[in-house]
Amino acid sequence: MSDPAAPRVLARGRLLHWTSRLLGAAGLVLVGLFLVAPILVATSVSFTADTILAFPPVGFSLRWYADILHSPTWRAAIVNTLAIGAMCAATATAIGTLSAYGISRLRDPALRDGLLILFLAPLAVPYMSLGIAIYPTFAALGLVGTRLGVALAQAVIAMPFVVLSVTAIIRRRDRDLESASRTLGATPFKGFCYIVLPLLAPGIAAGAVLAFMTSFDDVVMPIFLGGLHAGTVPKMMLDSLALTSDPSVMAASTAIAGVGLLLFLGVGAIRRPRHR
Amino acid sequence: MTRATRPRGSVPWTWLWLLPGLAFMGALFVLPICRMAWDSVSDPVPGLGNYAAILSERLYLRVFWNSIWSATGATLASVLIGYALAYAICRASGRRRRLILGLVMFSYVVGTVPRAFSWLVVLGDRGLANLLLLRLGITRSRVPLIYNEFGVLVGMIHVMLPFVTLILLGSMLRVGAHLVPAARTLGATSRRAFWEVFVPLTRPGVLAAMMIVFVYSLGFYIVPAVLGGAGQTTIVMEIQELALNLGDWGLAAALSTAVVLVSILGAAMYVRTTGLADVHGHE
Repeated sequence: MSDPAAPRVLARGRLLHWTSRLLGAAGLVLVGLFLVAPILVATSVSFTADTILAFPPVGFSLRWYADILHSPTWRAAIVNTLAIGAMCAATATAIGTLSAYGISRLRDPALRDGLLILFLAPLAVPYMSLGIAIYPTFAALGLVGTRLGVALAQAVIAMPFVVLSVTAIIRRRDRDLESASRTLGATPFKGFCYIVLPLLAPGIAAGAVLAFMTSFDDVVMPIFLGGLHAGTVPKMMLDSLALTSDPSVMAASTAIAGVGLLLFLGVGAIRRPRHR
Repeated sequence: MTRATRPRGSVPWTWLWLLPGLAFMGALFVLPICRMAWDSVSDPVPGLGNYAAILSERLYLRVFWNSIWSATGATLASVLIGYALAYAICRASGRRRRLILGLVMFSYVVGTVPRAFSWLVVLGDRGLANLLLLRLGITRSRVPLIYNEFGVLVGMIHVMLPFVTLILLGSMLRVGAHLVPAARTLGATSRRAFWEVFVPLTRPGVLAAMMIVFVYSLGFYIVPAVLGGAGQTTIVMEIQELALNLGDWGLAAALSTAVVLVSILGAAMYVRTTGLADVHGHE
């Protein structure tokens, strides 16, 4: 290049390049902090020895965790949460697995899409609207204010996750094995139990965990359908905000976050392909 | 998918597998929603009275407007930040990529409830933000950062961001990270390659993400409940109030039906722009 201005232009280009990279990196760090820092701040406050909800935490103590474990109302909420989560996961997983398998066997693509949309549709309906819609039916059946009622309503919103998770595995599985079992004389039921189910196990397990997490993360159904006796931990947290401002709510929040993290790591371990 | 390998004579059996699912979804999803829609036009008296009441009552219009406004804000902000974040993940490799993706996943899997509550100790009167503002001498007294529009918006963006980022990342990875280098090889500047190749190709993903976030934000309960004030009553809270405390069932059903219609419209647009190919994987 013989243009005398070229080095200057190049230098300016490089300066621009480095400023934009620097800005990009700074933005990335900020977004990363935005994502993670609040959870860490809340976690730190949950270990405070102080009696008010304030940052920075004072000292270190497990008293708020102990408080929760000793309080009868929190304990009832924990039991409800686990029972409802288990019932929701069991219902959604059993029905969702059968449905995903059934859908995958349909031959007509339009019918397959239509049914898939039906099972994914709860994703598009706000929880509160679904709660309102279900209320009269549950009231007639005596399910309002029961754990089973909350669990069944949550199973509806967890259904899409199970269907998606099992469908994803069905796509990858080896269909020939099932055909072979049928050729060898197995009934469809036997073929399903001995060949299909074991092949789909990772997807089913992942779906079950997702269903449990959906139940765990939902506060609308317990508020709307749970009444006084089927309140879960998130509902209890929301209620306790109105009553007290002590840090126990952060201990509950941290515990929930921890369970979510563990479940996620569990799913990761299930889904990771095993090398033989 | 090859048809020949399917077991023969499976059609009646197929419906047997589908029976529990159809019964469950019919009884607990389709019928209840139809019944709610029916109640909305028939509850106190038959007719469109409930909908007329919604449109004529200023409170409901304000609440609707509140919800739509904060949902729009949360959608735009989280899609904008999410796009940049997903692009950064897309471009990074190795440890850097795992680190950023790890942060996004962490924030996603801890759940909505802890994320909403965590802002109480960040933006609250005695939270981290106010502490910093006071210590750094930016303000002289504590600034109200929650129980207002701002708190709700920040909380919603925080809850939505990981979700949006993952959706957008999926769409970017489908487009292929190699397209930008390809365009550059053909002589485009990096800016042109980005704006004229990458952005248009990822537009369906962006539209889809916007739709999903909007629908989700509209139905949000926990974030406005924890971080909003009296002025941030959303449509969902109003429905709850009407149904549970005021016992005005028809009106609650009408509002709820309106929200479902808006949401389903959004979801239908999502299916139209992206299709279900991701789910089935027909090639």
